[in-house]
Amino acid sequence: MPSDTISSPEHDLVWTKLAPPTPRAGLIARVDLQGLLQAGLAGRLCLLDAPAGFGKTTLLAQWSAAAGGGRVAWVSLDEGDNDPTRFWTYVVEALRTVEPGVGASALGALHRASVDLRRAVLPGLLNELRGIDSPLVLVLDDYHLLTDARCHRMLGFFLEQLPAGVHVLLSTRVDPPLPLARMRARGELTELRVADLQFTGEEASALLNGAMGLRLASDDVERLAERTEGWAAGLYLAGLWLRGREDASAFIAAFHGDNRHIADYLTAEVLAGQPEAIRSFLLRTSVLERLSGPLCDALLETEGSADLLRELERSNLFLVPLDDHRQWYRYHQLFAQLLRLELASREPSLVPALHRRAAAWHRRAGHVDEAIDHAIAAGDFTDANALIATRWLEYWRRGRRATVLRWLDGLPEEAITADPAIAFVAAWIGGFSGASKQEVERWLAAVEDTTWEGALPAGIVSLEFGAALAQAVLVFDDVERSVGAARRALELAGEQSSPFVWMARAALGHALYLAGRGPEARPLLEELVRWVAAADQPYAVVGALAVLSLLAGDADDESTATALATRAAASAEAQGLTAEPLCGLMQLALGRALTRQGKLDEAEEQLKWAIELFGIDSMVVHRAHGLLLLASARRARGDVAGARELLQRARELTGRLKDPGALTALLEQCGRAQPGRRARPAGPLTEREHAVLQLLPTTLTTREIGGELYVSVSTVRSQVQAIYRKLEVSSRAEAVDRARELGLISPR
Amino acid sequence: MMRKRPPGPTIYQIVVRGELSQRYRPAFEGMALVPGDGRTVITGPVVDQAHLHGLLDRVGELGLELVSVNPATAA
Repeated sequence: MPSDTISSPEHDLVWTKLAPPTPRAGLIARVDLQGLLQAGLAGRLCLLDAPAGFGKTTLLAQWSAAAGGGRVAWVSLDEGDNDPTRFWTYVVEALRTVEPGVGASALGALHRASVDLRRAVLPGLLNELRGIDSPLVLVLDDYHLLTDARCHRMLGFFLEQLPAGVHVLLSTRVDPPLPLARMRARGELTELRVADLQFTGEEASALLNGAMGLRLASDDVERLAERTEGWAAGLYLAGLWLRGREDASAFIAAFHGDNRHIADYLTAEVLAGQPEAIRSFLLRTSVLERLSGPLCDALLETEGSADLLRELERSNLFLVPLDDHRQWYRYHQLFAQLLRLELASREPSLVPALHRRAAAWHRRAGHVDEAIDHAIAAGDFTDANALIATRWLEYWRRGRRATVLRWLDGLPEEAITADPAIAFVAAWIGGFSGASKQEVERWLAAVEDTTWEGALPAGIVSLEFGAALAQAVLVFDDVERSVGAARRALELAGEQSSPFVWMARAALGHALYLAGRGPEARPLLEELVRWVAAADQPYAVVGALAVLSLLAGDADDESTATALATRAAASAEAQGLTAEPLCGLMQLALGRALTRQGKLDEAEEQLKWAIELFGIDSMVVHRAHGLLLLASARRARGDVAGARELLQRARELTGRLKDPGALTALLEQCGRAQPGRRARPAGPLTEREHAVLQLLPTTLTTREIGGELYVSVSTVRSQVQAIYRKLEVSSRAEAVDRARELGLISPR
Repeated sequence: MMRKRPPGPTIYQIVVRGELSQRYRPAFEGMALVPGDGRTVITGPVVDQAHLHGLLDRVGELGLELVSVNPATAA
């Protein structure tokens, strides 16, 4: 089993998340429910949906051991899985524990900087799953901990496309935001809810008198079942509480008439009944998400925790083993919450110290996430910041931006602005994740602290450079500022060379292009692509190629524009940057080149993708540009109304910008090219008709056109007729003239 | 255009089943816990919707059964 101490993001898998918790002794097997689960797996999705403490995980673990047949792919989810890259990495790794042959390319794609899951990861994975020999089940435990909308969307897509042999089992406390109604209507969803999971009288008896070895009278059992309303956690606590008591009946009678909350009351009672050493251990180690002997020893500054953990497991006190080696455990979540509350009330001043020791242990072990979480919980923001500053870059490069954002979210605002290195990370990651100009400006103001003597964020040569670079690439609504910032960044960088310095060069080229100073941009960008390989400086090269393509297109050199855009696309694909907002330029350039070639469906796909990537505040100028180019593509199709609407949107967007650069002029140009005088085409041309139209100005005969396009002569003839009809002309020459007027083919 | 000043926090009463001991107070910072009649009223100022949803999440995390959520009416 790989050690979980290697520390780069793709190796920081916590393997215990991929194994169902070992079914514990002292519980009952709820065979009827297991049967329901099994039957529910006939459909796509089986949902186990009930509040905390109803025994969902236990049921799943037991079912997996008894009936899973070794075909269960398990993921125990936690808050950290709200990072789509991380979530899908765990899902794929889980699937690979059952089917080692699937998911290799999915994993490769997942660890790139910025890939589109739906386009680059899921289709391949689903395809591989179609080829498996025997059915498997994917179990996602604690799904309610996922709140990230992207994770839900992707899982929804996955469920829709699920091949026949794959079933999904979700355990959750709240109804997940997935298309449940649709699945229900189609009979593809099975649900087990509270009513199913409540313990019956017989089950309560089997648990208390059977598994837990008590000897309660049947009406006592009934009273307990009634009082707890079949809540598994309550029954279990009651069982612990009654262990070794002679006068169970009296206690139960009093309990029955009691109004106190069961878990509150009984946990206190059970704790009170423990020896002090055990009680103290339980309370103090409750700050940990997962426990091991060495970690507990470090936490409590003692020895022998491993033995104590085993003993606690044997006496069934809240502990769940996470692996077969009994190396790692965790507390049942509900009890962990209660233990923490009790600790907070008994030894409040100890809590930060405990978190601090846990942070130190995890840091030494290379568990970055846990180290940061504990440092923040301890209020040691300086330590947390130091960890974030050293790790952020590799996480960003490996597609784990959402994780860095989560770390930053855990910090109070003052902790971010007090540390220029972290303020830079916040501005950078935030700016690319949808933060507003106001927020980013606030962070950048904190970056420019010239008295800072602490560590710099990895990869950044100086704070002033970092601030200037951020302002250069996060254009927001001010092109001129971006130009100035890019120049300043390059001045500050001097002779130094680093990926960020190259990014600054590409940013200058792009900003100059946006400002309408294309000729100034060209030499700088040409030099960049001549001397630098995409593999070395992916962002810079993809961006530079894209801008050069746009420049070539502006000069009507379509073949160069196409060649450059294609190169940019290939590099982006190879470097895993196809979902990177900064590289959305590639889709813009490619979309435009495709429009000019008449490949309108593909063009629209690229341009819409670019507009989607530019959906964040920092890329609003690029978004307006994208809308403009999409308008041209629509117009080329003959969809004049659609084009007008897009231009209007672009106009509105541009109107709100502080300095839109050359966009205003571009918009005017597009506006003028609108056909106004004569009627528009009676209907939009199809892509095939458009392709034929492009060949009408040539001297090719109808038959030769058919040869060019690989269609029969009669097909071409009917397409030509459709073109004449839509353009309201009656001859080839007229069609060509009219098409030129409407901007459907390029001018002579 | 003058921005409207946002209204102050609203007092909410979140009722859960079972009478809770004061041990649960740190889980609901800034709120008072008033047990009685087989229930507990968790009451106090709630700044905004995000705050309210956070409190409701806590209720779920702690395995408490939610009975009702209401803004307190003025006396």
